Amino acid sequence: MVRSVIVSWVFCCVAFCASLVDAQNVRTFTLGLGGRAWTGGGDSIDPEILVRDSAIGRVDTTNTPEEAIEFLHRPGWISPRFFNPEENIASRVLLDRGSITAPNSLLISSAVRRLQLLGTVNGDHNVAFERKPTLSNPEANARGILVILDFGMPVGIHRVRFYPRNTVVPTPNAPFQDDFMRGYEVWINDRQTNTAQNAPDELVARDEKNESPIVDVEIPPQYVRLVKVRSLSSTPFEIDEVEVYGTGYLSEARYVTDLIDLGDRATIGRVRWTENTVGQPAFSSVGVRVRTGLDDTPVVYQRKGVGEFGDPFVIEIDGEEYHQLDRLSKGPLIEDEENWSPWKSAENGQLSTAPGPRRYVQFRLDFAGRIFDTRQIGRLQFDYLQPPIADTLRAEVFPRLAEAEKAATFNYAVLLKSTGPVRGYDRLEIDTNIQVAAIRNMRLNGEPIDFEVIENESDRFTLSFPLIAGDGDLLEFTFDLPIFRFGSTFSGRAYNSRWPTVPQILEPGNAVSFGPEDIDELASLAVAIPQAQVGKLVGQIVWSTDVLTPNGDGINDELEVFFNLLQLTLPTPVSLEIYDLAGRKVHTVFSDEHRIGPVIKRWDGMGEDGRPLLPGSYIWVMRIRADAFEEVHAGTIAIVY
Amino acid sequence: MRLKKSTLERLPLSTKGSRCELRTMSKIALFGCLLIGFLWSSDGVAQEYGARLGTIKRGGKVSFEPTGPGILFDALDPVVRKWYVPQELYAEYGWDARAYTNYANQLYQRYVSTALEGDYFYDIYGNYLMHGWLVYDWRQENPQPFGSMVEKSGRFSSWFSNLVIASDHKGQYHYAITIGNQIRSTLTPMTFSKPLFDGLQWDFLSDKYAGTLVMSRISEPGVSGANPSQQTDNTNLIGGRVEVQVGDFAKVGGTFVNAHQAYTQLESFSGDMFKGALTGPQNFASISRIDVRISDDSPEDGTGGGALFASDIVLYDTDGKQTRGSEIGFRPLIEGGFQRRGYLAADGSEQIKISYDFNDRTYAGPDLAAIERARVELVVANDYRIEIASDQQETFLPLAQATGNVKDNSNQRVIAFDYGIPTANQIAGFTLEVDNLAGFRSYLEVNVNQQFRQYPNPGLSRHHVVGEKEMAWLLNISRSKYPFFAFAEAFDVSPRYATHMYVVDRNNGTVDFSNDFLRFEFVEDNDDQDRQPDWRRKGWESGDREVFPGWDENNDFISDFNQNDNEDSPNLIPDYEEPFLRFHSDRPEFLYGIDMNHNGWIDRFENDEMADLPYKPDFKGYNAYTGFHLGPAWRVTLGQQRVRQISAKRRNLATYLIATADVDIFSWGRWVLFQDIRKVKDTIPDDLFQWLQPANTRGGMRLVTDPLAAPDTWINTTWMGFDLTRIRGLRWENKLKWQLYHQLGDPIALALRDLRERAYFFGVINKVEYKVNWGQTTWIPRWKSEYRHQADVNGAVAKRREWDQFLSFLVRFPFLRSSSIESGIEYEIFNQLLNPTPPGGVDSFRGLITTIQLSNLSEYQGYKLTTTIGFELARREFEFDQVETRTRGFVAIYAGVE
Repeated sequence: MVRSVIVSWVFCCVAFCASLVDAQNVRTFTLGLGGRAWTGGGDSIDPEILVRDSAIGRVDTTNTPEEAIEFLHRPGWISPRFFNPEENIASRVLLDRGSITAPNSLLISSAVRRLQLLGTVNGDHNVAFERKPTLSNPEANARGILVILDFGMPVGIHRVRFYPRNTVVPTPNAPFQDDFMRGYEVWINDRQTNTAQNAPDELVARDEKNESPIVDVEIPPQYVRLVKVRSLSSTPFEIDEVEVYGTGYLSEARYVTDLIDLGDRATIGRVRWTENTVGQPAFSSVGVRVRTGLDDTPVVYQRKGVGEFGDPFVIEIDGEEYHQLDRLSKGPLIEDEENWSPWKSAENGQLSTAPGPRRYVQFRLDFAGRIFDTRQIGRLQFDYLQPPIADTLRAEVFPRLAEAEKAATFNYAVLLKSTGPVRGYDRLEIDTNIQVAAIRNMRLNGEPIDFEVIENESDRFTLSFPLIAGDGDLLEFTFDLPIFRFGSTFSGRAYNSRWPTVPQILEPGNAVSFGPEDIDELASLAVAIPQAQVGKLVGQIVWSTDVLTPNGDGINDELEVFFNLLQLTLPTPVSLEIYDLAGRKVHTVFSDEHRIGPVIKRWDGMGEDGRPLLPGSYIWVMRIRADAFEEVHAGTIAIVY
Repeated sequence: MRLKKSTLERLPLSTKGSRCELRTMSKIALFGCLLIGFLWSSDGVAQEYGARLGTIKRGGKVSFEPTGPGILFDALDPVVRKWYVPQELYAEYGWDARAYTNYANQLYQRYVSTALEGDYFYDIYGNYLMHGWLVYDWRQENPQPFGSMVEKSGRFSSWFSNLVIASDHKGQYHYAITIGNQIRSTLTPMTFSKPLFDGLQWDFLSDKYAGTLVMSRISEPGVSGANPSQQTDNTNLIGGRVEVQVGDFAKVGGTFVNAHQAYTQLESFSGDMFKGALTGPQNFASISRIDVRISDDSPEDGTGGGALFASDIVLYDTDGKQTRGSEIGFRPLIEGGFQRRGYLAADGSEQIKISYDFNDRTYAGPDLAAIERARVELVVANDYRIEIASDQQETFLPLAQATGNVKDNSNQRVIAFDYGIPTANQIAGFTLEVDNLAGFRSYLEVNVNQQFRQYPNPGLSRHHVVGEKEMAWLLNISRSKYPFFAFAEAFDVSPRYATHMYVVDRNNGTVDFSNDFLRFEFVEDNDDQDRQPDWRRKGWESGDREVFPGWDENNDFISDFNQNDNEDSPNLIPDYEEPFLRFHSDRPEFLYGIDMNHNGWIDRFENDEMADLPYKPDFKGYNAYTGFHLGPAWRVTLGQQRVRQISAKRRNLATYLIATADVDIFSWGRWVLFQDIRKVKDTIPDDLFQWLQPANTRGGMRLVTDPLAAPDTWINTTWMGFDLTRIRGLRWENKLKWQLYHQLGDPIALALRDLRERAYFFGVINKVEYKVNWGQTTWIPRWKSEYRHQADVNGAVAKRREWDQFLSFLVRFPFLRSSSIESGIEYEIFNQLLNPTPPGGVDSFRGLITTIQLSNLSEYQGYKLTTTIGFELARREFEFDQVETRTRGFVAIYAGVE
């Protein structure tokens, strides 16, 4: 009894766990509002972004390169860094791309100069940049001395202030309040100074006879990369601090998430985010990019060495070992293109085109805007399925070359590959240009299977069939339709109907051999048309009759014109006009917009006034007013009573 | 006079050998004394210059021909003793190394440099040219390292000031060879025009024919006085023009300009010289990566950017085998782009980067060392812009761009191009000029621009060359038959018509396509038509910091709006705002003139950062007008302009009616009218780089953005002026300017662009001056009124309505003999006519400025000194603000010679 209870209890537990696994819902990863904090980057593995600013490059492991992201201005949201008008941002010149220099302050050691300049922007009121006579340099010239703050990128500023010690902050040990700049110029530039490329410095303030220890210059809010302070007086001076007060948003900023570890390979669903616009939408944008990886290091670290016979070599090592190498042993850093995909642009609510399923995923947000126009991102989300629908769903279509307009039959194949547990798929959604005429002959591993056409629209069709989840399972079917454009691509997505919100994109590639003409390397989901047909907007124009007899006898009272619009991706104005032999327009049969594909129109022989045209010969002119050119076709037609 | 060597040879020998008898000795002594005396007397007659001055004799000939040493019969005696050829010391100073020297009587002569008058030079045939100095030498020898050499000796600059001219003529035939560092040189305005050309120009002229050849090693044309510059990698320019007079009315011309990279280790005729060669660093390694970038050619609209449907690469190896990337499974790495149905889209700021990495593991094509040609095929559509780069050329260079701004895929096409590194840029064309043929005058110029690229492969001496052709033509035609006149101009300049070439970096032989300092321009940007190109380019890295075309009518390189500014005594106030000076100088807003590009600036005052081609690349269209004279004073013109940008859907359409009048009113004065009314549709941005003088600065170049103020607009400009000149001492000037922009477009679209539906400028300037001499004292009362009512086209700029008046009085009287005292007072009444004062505006105020100045003219140490001592007190009393007081004291001495 007890035994049977235990057995039944264990059985129930196992069944429950199995059902839990099987019924595991789609998981959602959320960064930002309602999810993991932006500041944590996704609370996963630190990012590794290769920066090529030297021969070997370096790796940036921060989520906010150049500290360009704002976390606090609107809690829960990120945007390019925002500066309050009271915020002194001079210390930003100490970031990677920034610098502070005094290029013509010679006769002073570079180390001392560097320390002094550092002291003018770091808030240390005991250290100042000095241009005063010393024992070693008794004739230090102060006239013309420049101090250049380079932020490395355009930042919004509205005020520049500089002063000697013991003025703004009391420093009794350094009572140099009178050693202020007796004459000065303040220049700004939103780019590197380059008069060859329209980037000269702009003078914003000049005072040859300054009498104020604290120089405070107001500037209309604007982006500035360089701030230059130049002495116009030979009187020795010092600068305790150069304060640059920011305003508005940075013009460009990048946020990089951690390498998000999903624990195992996963099918990644639609990426979506909440976005808010500040100011004019036309002047700002945010680009979301995603990449996926098989391991946790998107950078290949290399060590240089010399072989036994003096031959140099480079070998791959891990990051930890790399950082312990001496400078000369560090080899060039390169992107790991084998295990990581390139960055793919994502669109809100759409599936990412980054390859999958993968275990690691990373996002990059690139903000662009103006000083008071920017974008904010509140939440970045995506769904994912584990185990995935399949490890690989490779699909191909054959033939891959077809004459435009002509009805063609295409064979379609999807090959499932798995290296572990997968969920499989029981539905396919295939993109088309027009409605498919027929879908038939579906086979699984060569055996016919039942299927159902769930929908057949002008831009896609969807098929349903029994679950396919076996490694190596090959699904094949055939469909008929003409194509109208080079690059008609029958891309598709596979669904498991239990989790329909996370489809898996079919990966173009070789799935099966369709015969001797099917070259494996060329396998894809795109169908081309002969090159000679590229560039035509209308194919053959077919008239039901050349002679129209609008006399009500039921024979040729109306004519029908049929043609295919080719190549176009947007609705395009098309018109058909009738002219008499004197060149006068007598009727416009139609003038409206049409999409790619077949068009059928009728005409009953009536003129503009609604009365039948007189018997005779007429000229018809069809115009397709595309953006690039107007394609015109013409011919004759006769009206006979 | 000289002695025969044979005689001299015998002198020492006769004292050696067998024992000599006394008689013989005494004969010899006597002969020696006679000889010494003879030599003494002959030396005393004339200076002996020796062989260096061209008196060497052998076989009785005077010769400097390079013939090599011959046989000296005098040295055929069979003796073991070392025989020295009597050369310089013996010939010039009579010194024999073994003979006793005694300078007691014949005093010692110091050595004189034998090269005082230069070296001997020979031509390529060995003909003796001259005895002198090398001034300029440019030669290129192939194949050899450092085969290109340019030498400009120090004498080139110190003696000839960097300009040497060789010329000749006979009858009607003239020619001149000019070598200089700064030659003003033009072939045609569309092909070659430079105010500073560093090179050689060879001109020929006869009654019917004219020809010019220009040549330079533009990568390093040589520095005078420096060591000869020898380069293996270099960039050469060769160009020329021939003109032929055909009949009485026509002149036909042909032009050719070619700049190409050269590598002197190659044989000259291993390829087409005009297609250039890859430099050493460019051909050091095989290409291992080709990158193609597709972006949106009109990113501002955010849609319809470049669409990529398919891509492939075809590799050709040295065996002639063709390998298609897709057939071997070699697929590119594609980054970026939005996925659409069947294609990737690069909309807005998005970019698609296609990388063919030959080091990728999927690459199974021919060995890199065997690839001689790589062809990239792209199926693209919409508003694409395609650029290309490689691991040997990191900078992306433009390759193709869509015509117009297509968004519906209607321009889908296959673009196939061979990858290569630019090696040459060439322009060839012809001109036809007709002068007064049945009253017509015309000028036609047609040019074909070819840009050559080559695919690197270190294993090959000849590389695959690919060339692209771009066209440019222009036609101007006019006819005038009083009272009628007509003019028409038409042009079409391809977007990628290029008049520049990136030259080799002399330090490392590379070509940096991102460095404008290494860009040599065939046609310079020189809007102010001075001797300095405006931009900073190869050969003129310093640029021109002060460019104000039209604003320097007196050619003193100072803006006429701040005439009293100079380096030594900077003046930070424009003249039209400076007390007393502002009477004569009016604000630039009151200027008038033609603005055909409708960017708000009068065309003749515009400065841009583009080559001074008559018509800009990427534009085509026409402009035509006709009109008639109504008497000598009136002229009416009616015209139409249609200009379109080829690579974008932008246009500048205008229909205009212009009336001008310049009327002398009964000798009392002159009345001038300029009336321009036009209907404009302009969407072409014409940004400028203008000289502006913000407050308290000396001015500088600033980027001025075209507001595109006339999308669909009526523009009226009326300018009238009247000057009274009849009454002596009285000067009365009046100006009126009224400009109106009346927008016809959708008000919502205008509001989104911050454009006012009605923008206007109404300004009136009246001024009167009367100069009275009373004894030696001069009294000058003045009044000037400046009224302005303005609503800028930019709706964000506040309206202005102001009236400013200046009343001034100057008195000048002499003091002692050469001094004078001048005192002035100026009272300013500024009325802000808008209430409240708009943002950026100034409240009403009253200002008073008083000055007094002593001027002294005196002479000192040959200079004429002008000394001024003075004091100025200025006070401004604002309506709602505090009083501002400013003082200025000054003592200044100026020295001159006249």
